[in-house]
Amino acid sequence: MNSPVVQLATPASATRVTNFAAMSAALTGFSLETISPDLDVTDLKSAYLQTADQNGESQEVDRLIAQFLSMKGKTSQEIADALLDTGKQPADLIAAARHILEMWYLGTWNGAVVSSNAYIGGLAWQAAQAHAMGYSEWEFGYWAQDPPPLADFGVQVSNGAKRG
Amino acid sequence: MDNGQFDVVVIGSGLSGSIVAAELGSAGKKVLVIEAGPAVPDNRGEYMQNFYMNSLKAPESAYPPLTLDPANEATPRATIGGLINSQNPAKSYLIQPPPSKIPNASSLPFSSTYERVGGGTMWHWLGTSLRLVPNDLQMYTKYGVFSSDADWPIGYDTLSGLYEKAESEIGVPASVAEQAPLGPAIGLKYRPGYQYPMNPIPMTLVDEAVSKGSEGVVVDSKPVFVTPTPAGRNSQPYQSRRVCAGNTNCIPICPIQAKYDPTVTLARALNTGNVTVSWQSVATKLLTDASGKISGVQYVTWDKELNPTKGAAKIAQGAMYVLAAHAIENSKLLLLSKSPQFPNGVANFSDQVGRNLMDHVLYLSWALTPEGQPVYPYRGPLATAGIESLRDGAFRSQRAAYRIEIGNEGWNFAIGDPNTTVLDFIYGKNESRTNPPVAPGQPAGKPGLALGGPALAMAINDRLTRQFRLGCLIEQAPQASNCVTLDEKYTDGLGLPRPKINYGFDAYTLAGFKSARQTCSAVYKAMGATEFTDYSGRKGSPSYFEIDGEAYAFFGAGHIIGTHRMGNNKKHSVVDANQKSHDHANLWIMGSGSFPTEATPNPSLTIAALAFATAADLKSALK
Repeated sequence: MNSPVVQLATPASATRVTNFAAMSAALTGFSLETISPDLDVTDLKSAYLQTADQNGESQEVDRLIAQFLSMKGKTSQEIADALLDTGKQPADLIAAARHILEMWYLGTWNGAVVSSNAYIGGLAWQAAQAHAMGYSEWEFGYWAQDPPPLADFGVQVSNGAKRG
Repeated sequence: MDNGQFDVVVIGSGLSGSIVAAELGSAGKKVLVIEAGPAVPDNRGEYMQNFYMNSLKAPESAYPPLTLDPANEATPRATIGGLINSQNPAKSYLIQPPPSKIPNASSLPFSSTYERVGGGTMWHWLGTSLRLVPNDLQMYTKYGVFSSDADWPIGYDTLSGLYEKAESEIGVPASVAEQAPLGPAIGLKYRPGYQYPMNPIPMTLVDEAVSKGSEGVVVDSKPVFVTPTPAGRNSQPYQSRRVCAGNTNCIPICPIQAKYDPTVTLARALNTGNVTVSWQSVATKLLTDASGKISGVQYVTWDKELNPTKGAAKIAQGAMYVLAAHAIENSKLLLLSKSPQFPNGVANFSDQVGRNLMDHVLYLSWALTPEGQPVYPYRGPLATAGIESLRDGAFRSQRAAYRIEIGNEGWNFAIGDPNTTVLDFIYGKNESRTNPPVAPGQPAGKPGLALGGPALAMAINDRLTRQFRLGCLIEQAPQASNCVTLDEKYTDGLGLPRPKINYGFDAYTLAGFKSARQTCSAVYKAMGATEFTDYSGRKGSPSYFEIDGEAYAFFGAGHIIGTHRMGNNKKHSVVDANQKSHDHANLWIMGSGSFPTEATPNPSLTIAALAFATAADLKSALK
């Protein structure tokens, strides 16, 4: 597992961010390298964890992380399905997990944009094999060609992909 | 009072005002530009930040003021935020008419918006740079519709020369050879040997799919075919600006200024050394002398957008005056300038100021390509091709014509995607009507899946990569009753009355609407695509109406047209073919407000073309 490049006050919170990132990879279906790249200049994982904390969902996030850590060896899909299992999970954990998904996919909390980096980094654009509207790093004429395959955008395309 | 004596005082720094300022400044004339809004920023970072952070990414999302408080803003303007609250003057700058009773479409909110900032509304134009065709200028003579006042007082050959100047100023990449099929189809003409200033922009995969799939579709004896759209986005470095990188964000803002905007021309004007701009300066009245000539522009400055403090009233003077504040603000100022000498307002002998307000009525439809056949939208410029082949034909004696713009932004315009579809699959909702898929007109039923993990990414990938949409720009008939007046009850933050709107559609326009719907559905069917257009959920919204029992809603195209139409008859029109007032020897009134009819092309290229005619007319007048 990659160690994230984050500047945080205490080692304990660094571990929490690391675990949050690993859980987010499984929950979103994107690779850990996408969620927490080696050189992470935008550090969305810390921003999203902080946003969840600020909105009073610290405990729910920690319970989700604890569940995630207990599922070693499971595929991302199995983990995501378990974390979001409406038949077994309490409603507050389902809600918190969905809030985390919304942040990663759209860069929003309840519809409000978390930051410009969050908007640009929304995984929905990657899932569309595209780029954020208003933020293209591609070159003139790219639109006349097929995009690279979905896996190149960080999606764990094999449904049973092992985590980690 | 400003003691500086200018050759020309221009009100507004958008496309028209900037072209006139640059042309006259280049000719050594002294020009003062009075701009209501804030100065053009040194770079567009601040506007980009506004755009990124705004949760409603409407055309206005990048531009100040970011509040929605027209009674207390220095330069409030029509916004999408205001339109959503069209019946609430606390949020809507425009005082909109009450909605008519369904199914009637005779009273509806005017749905296009504009900006009041340095550089004007074209900060967020799409870039589309289509020419009118000869028959567009003669709707009465050729098709017997509207009235003789709807024929333009300008011939196509004159306009063609002006278009060449406009295409050079804006920087329009296109190929005359690629446009050639539109000659026999709708009468599009170029001067022999003419070439656009840049090579064309390639079509997207979405365009290619519509082009191939729609082959064989015929509407009112006219074949449907797709052509690349000439547009003001660089295909090569031009005017020291970059090449388009396909940010898919022409509206609200091109992040790299590969798309032309009037700040380019305004910079050219300022570089002449003969042009001065007074920012944050709102014109409040055109003053007249005993002979009826304009003698000055009264204006006030302001300090901050919200709850502004007004500066003392000033007067700017010049030999000539140009009103270039866009159709609604132009009308507002002319009507505000009433005096005992001109009780109907300035330039309003004809009683046509504010009348014949038009927009391209936009019918939007959307579909998914067949499974396994993605077209990869959300890439490239917002629109790169369209169906122009239905813009002219004998049918125009019976119903409105339209052009069809192919969108490259998936269902972003249609339903606010990617957000709506993504939220559906996260929260287990069905706002998009694709979770699970629901046929148009059917109740949405029980929502489908709430997903996570790779299954979520794959579901989103499947939907988003197959989305596309068609937008029909329908020619609205000019109607005297569709008009801008002043509402003295409601004022802005400077105490000025706000525009009051009357607006609706006549039978000719609605017949075009119905045809547009049928054409789009026929194209989707021919492509094997699945249509999802559904307006039944919008019942109760002010933009909702019905035709023959079918649910419709319309959008504004952002094209504010009419309000000071041009013509040869001074009793029935406001300006002449050079946009000079019939009533005042030293006043020109510019922009799409001068169009007697709107035809089907997006108006900016024609606004620029007419601005070159006005600049030439001003130069002769100043000799």
